[in-house]
Amino acid sequence: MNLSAFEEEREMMLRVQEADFVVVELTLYTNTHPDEPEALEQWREAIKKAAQIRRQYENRYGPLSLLSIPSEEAIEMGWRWNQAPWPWQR
Amino acid sequence: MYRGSYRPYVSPLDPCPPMRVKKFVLPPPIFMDFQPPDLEQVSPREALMIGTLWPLLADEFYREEGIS
Repeated sequence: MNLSAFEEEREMMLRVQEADFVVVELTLYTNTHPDEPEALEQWREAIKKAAQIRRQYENRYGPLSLLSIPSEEAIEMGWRWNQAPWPWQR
Repeated sequence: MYRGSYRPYVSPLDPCPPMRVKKFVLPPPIFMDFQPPDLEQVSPREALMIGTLWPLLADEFYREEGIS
């Protein structure tokens, strides 16, 4: 399906949010169900998947948090975080 | 998932326009003491939309309903 650049970025951001949501849900679940092997396994997989999707997003659209390493293109581009467009405006 | 409403007392001295009927919802987790293991799960996208990974706990309350 051909999405415009904006829709594509929105779609990837939505996937990042979805993966993070699953991690939060499973973390809360494993807090109350500590000795369930499948839940713990699914929780670990969810964390890996979320990190992977986040890395994909960041490679294309720049760092999402202070802790993420900016890609080479971001550095060449002279990534200046305090200029428009702000993350919520893109 | 239980819906309910009640009529709060309205006094002439109330500072703001009164809310005649206040609606509320009692989501399923209230009636469960402990979540059973291996409940059926939904896809991540769906989970983000309904607010939980397990449809059994979802209460399908939506903003349009304007539950206060």
